[in-house]
Amino acid sequence: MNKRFALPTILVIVSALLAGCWDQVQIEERGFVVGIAIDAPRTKEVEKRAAKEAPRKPKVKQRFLVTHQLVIPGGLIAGSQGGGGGQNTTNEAFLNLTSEGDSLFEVSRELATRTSRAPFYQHLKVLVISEEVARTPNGFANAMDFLLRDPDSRRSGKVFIANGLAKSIIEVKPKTEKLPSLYINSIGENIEKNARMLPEVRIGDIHEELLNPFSFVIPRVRAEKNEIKMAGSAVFSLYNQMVGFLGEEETEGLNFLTGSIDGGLLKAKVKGDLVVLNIQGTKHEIVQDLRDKQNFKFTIKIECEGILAEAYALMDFLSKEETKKLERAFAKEIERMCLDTLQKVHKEMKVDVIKLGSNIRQKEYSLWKQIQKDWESGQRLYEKSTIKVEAKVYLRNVGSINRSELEEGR
Amino acid sequence: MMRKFFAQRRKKKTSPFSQHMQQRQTPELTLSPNLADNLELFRTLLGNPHDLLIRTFLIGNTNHTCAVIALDGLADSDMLHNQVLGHIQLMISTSEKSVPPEPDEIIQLLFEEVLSVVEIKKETSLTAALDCILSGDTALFVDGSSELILIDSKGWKTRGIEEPVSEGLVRGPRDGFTESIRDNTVRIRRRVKDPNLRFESSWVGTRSKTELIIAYIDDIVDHEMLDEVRRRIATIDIDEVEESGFIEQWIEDDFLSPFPQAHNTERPDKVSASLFQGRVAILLDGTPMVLILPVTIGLLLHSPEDYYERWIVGTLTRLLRYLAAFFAVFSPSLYIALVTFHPGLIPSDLAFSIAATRDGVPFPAFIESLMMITTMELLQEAGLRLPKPIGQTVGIVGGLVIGDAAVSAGIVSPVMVIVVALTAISSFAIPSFQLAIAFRMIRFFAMFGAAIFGIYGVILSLIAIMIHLSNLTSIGYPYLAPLAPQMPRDWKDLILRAPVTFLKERPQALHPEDEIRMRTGDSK
Repeated sequence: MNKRFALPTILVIVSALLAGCWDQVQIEERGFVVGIAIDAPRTKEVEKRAAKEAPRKPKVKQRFLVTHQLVIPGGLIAGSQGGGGGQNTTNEAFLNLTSEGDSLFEVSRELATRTSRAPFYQHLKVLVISEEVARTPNGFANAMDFLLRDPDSRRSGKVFIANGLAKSIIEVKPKTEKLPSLYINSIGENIEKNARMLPEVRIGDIHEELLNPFSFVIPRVRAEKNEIKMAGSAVFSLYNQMVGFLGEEETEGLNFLTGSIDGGLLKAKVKGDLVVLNIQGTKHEIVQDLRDKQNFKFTIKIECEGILAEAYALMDFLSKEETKKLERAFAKEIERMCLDTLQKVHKEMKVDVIKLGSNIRQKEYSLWKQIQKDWESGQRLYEKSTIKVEAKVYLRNVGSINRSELEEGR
Repeated sequence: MMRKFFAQRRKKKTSPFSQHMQQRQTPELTLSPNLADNLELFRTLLGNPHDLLIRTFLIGNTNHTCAVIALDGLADSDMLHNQVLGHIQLMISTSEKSVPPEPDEIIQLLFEEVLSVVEIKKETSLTAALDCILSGDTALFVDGSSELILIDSKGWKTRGIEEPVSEGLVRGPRDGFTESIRDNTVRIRRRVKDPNLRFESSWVGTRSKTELIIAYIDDIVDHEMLDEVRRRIATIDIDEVEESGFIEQWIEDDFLSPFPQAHNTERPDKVSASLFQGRVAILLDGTPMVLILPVTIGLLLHSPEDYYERWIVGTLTRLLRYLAAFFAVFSPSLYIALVTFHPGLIPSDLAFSIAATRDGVPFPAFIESLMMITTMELLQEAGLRLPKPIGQTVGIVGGLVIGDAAVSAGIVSPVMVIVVALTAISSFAIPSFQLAIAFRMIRFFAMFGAAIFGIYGVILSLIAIMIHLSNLTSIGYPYLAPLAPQMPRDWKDLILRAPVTFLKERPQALHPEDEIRMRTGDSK
């Protein structure tokens, strides 16, 4: 009996011992990285020092200045008794560590020499990349590679392009949240309230976009004193290089064109006075006419419904004719915005961020296979195509009151 | 491998058993016709105890000596005075018949006419008579006869019928079993007025001679199972049996398993319901704990109240209980796994706040939970041992030590306290105390798994438990039935408790002879 039990017993013991506990790190010993900002280094100082230490080291094309934002959990507890942590003297909930290096992995490992807590990327919320890095050829893809490849990081972090220095974005000290990264993250979730914000783009989505033969957009952030502003978007060409920014209104137009509006507002003028629509939802359809290769025709049909939020114009909103007038005014405003955006992305930047190419690929795959080389590059069929916009607005509700004041009062 | 091991074990046990059976039958003493000799023999056999009552008297006007032997306290003295001695003296002196001269005839007269007791028999074996006296009967001798009369005079003090302590319910009958087996059979008979209810009486314990009754309903129970129960009980060979636990441990299928393979209860309603399902109950004298066989996991996780309350309530409480079973086993191990291996699986804010509360705790999560769970086990054990008034103190001291002092001393984190509390509360929500104990043991197993492999280890331990459970049998019946083997018909009374009118059949898992409970549907 002893012999019979010996083998299984040894196997169990060995498997338990060999397995070890290599992944076992107590939760309080992890350095939760919630935000990363990637900049291009401004000075060559570090590079020079490195060259002096190892003169024969091969030179690299690009270097990164990476800022990791680590959470100091002790600082998160309001009025913590101070007994626990000890190392947290300023009672701040985060710690920004900036390092320079050739690769992100190098920087990540370099952090181990500077902090007691090894970086842990599974709670990464925000990745901010500076305009400068994004504008260098392949810079954006290079900066993303580590986070996409590392099995320890998640694909759900949100990606932003900083208008200026990326570091300054995650260094803001917001009043409402203790962690700047969580603050940026929550702002990114407010798309329902504002049509001028681009829907969130996650690290996983970026991977898809990098592999796709299309141009794409990423939300833009700008740091102000104690807050950040998230509006506008950065446009990337199909070669994954940033080509420019879209402004706030242009972004709104783009949102209408791609049908990614969940909520927001729309201003229009009726009878010389302002009326504001609270958007409740949009529908969006692309009708394509692909008979002439040299002149594809696209009609983007946008249907939008909403309720009246504010009206300075004096009119009877209960009459059908008047509301029709209103609806037409709003529709015109949408069309205007969309055309403005098209003017910029279609005529000036010449990037297909509306994903018309993707629409062809979905609906006419055989045709797409023939033309895909000539869409945004080669023969540039995208540029040669005609894009029209038709908008329709349904006013579902005029609010609790009809008028706020009588005409005689004015 | 295991099976062979058991086969060997059984073989070893059976050999001394058969020897013993022969030994037991050899010292068969018969009565001698001489009364004085008989009395002397009794005295020596029992070691002349001070509680042995011997009353010799002359019968009627003859000079035939008679004697009554009983044990003080076991025999009902009132009954001895009135129905036995009183009747003999009175009837024979006043009766018109004269007392016959032959002792055997006197015995016959007493047996047939004089003694006004229901349970009465003649006996020639002295050994048998001795057994009966030791269980409270009274023996009546007549000098010159080699027969004696045994009168059932059992009448000792018993505890009254009280509410079952270990299985309280809000709704349901309040009576529980007592230590007296007669009272217990009455409790069952009161509920089961089926003529097919059978009580098979025997005794176990070569010295203690404890009465044991196998109860079943003849036309419902699976007779194959019944035979197996009988066979296993017949193999029991111990000198004394104090509690049904001895029976349970002797007849169980797998002695290495942490899971109970016989269910014990002190609720008569549970026993009668089980009998109607086709199970067998084993009653033992001297204990209020009745064994129910075979066990399926459902029997342990269900409470009688599930059936007494309306089906929606019953179903929801059952769901809650299955959830409690999961928490009772796995919550500490999940805590360990998540905190030490996979903080990425915890929502960010929660992860940060756990990290913040654990800041400065000197032990790794595994040691921390091991300490806390062990302390909880200690408290539970200590609370059981202490008399009731002091028991509360343990609760207060334990609560303070665990809940507050340990946290403010920085030995454990507050989240750990929540986990321990959740675990403890969950394990109290399991109706069967035995199953709760089994879960307490498995909990440590899962914690070790979690400490070595993380979530992977928790899953591994779950798989190991599941493999064990699906291999486990109770009297040869699969423990996990009706889940494995699958019996979809029984599922309406597993996690879901279907409305009473839907429960038309008895559980298939028990192979009842009569599967149908409600025949109203058939008649049309």
